[in-house]
Amino acid sequence: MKTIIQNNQGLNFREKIQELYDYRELLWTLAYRDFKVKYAQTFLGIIWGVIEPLLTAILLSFVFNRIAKANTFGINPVLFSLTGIIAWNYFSNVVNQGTNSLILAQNMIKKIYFPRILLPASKALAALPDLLISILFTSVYYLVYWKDFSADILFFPLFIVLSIIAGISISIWFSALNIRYRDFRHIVPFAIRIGLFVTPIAYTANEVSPDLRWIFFLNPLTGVIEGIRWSLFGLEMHWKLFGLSMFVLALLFITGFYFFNKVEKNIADVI
Amino acid sequence: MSSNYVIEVQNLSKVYDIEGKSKDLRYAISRFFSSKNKGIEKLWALKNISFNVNEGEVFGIIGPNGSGKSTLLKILSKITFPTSGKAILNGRVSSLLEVGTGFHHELTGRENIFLNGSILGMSKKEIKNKFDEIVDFSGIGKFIDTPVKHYSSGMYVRLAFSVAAHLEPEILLVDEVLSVGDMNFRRKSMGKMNEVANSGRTVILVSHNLGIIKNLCQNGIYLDRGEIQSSGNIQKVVEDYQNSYKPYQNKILPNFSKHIAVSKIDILSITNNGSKILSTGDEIMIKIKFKSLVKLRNLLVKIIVRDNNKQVLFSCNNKFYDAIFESVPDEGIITCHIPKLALNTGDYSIDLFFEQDRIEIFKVFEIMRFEVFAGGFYETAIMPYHDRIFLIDHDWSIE
Repeated sequence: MKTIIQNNQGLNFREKIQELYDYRELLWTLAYRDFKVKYAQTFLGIIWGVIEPLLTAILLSFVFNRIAKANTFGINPVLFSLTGIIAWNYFSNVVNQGTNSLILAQNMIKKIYFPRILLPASKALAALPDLLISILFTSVYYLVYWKDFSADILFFPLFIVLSIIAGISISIWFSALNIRYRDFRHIVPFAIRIGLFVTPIAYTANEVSPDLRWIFFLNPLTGVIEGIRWSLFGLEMHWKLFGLSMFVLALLFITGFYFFNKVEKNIADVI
Repeated sequence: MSSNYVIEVQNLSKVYDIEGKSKDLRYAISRFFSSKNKGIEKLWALKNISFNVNEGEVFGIIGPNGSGKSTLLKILSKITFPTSGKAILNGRVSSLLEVGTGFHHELTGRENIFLNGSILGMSKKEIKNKFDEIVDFSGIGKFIDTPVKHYSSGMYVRLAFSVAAHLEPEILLVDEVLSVGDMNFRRKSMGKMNEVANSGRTVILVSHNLGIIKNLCQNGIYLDRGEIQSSGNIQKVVEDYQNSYKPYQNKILPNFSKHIAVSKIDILSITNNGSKILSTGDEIMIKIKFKSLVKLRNLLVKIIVRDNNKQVLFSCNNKFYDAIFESVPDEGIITCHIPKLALNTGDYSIDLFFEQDRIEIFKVFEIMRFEVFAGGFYETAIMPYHDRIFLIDHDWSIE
């Protein structure tokens, strides 16, 4: 194995992918560590993966459906919120953890070389068991309260994958920005709190006036969650706006990798 | 031009831009709108470094603090990139810049071995094969399935070092990690290091401990202010380093009063085989060579240590130990022994006072200067930030 170290050595795309593949064991190990540590010394352990989304769903359905009277189209309000929450919770967890992942590992970054993207990526991986648990729980809830499903349900996993991609894209962006400007440590939790309300979790995008609806769909999670509702309950889908959401997502994904790559180069000097 | 060097370093340079501020958004925005890059200073951490390392060679890098040693290792281990020049490494590289990187206190010893091992570049299979050996070497025994937060600091470091010691890359980069653990474990680590050195692997070793360097290395370089001052055979390089290293200015020595003359003061590190290079945590001796000009008795000796800003830090006094020298030879050496130097890295000076029967007979301020380098005060060899002047021994627990 021959390594040449010089300025602007920037690996090309194929070499980058090859490198990530070579480091796959480290990715698993880091994700295992994050998962293990998350529930170390907790009494309920992974059951928190059910309690947290359930309580959030009850709270949201109370606020939006009971008080604000948002239309759930005859679907049990808690079930309605749950289907949005599973994607949102995963997304916000990954973004929250991912944003700080580089800063918290600065000791490692200064001492050892490895593709830095493994750090935010491991957060996305470590949050998967929680996502799975909440999906299982929601499925039970769904089977109890909803009899009327169609073949569109087969698309449900696709939307879950899209929410995973959204989580990775945004956390790559924020983790890299956070290295340059620590302000993002304050911006991100705040943005996520706002996101909980401006993403149609306990309501549908139909509540928003048609002229302004496209603004909501600039948020990729809006597209993802509307998609989940369409596949599970057959609710109306704005396909053009969904396309806009996915375009934004693809843009964030590609630019995120590009920007991360740029920041990664001298990260050990600036962190 | 082909060669069989394992490591070839060609005209490697690294420049840092020193900016006043860089980490806040306000600065970035204002800089975006102003056209000039004001206030950027350049710092050459490395300047035109070239050297080659043969296969199976243990190569030493020595030099004072801030000479660029660590930057060089960081470039070779791909942690940071050079500004110009290049380095070619033929073989799988592992770097050992600190033990225990990535250790997590909530995880058990077993889990941390796997975690740390894969961070250091071992495959899961490799770790599995070496697992028993690693546990054995560390002496952790039955605590292997206990979370490492319950370990003593000694156990923690031993486990961390054991993982690192079982790396088997073709090229190993090591920075000052041999000074961890108690004496026993240190001896064991040295043995392991010797084994590594003799196993045909190529090693680059950075250390302040010239004894270790001379023992293990064949060739090396001496760096100062980012440039190579001397290179080649390690004996010669170490000699050049020692000759050019002026730890203190002896301008005001010899110095005398009516009663006593001081001709020489040496501050030596016992830990570092009597070298004048002092590191935090070293066992040191201050040796004062004197001549009595009159008959002296009941001699009190006081040494006051000050920092760079002339702030008094502490004093050593034979009165504290009820050890005032009742009889004093005509000439001789007064030795003050400090078992563990508790000063952080930096420049310090000492004032020397003699009293006889409570009457001051000799007083010279800043008679000596000395410098302290990073060292293994704590078993982890972690150093506090520079503004913390003292290191103290302490321990932790939680209930």
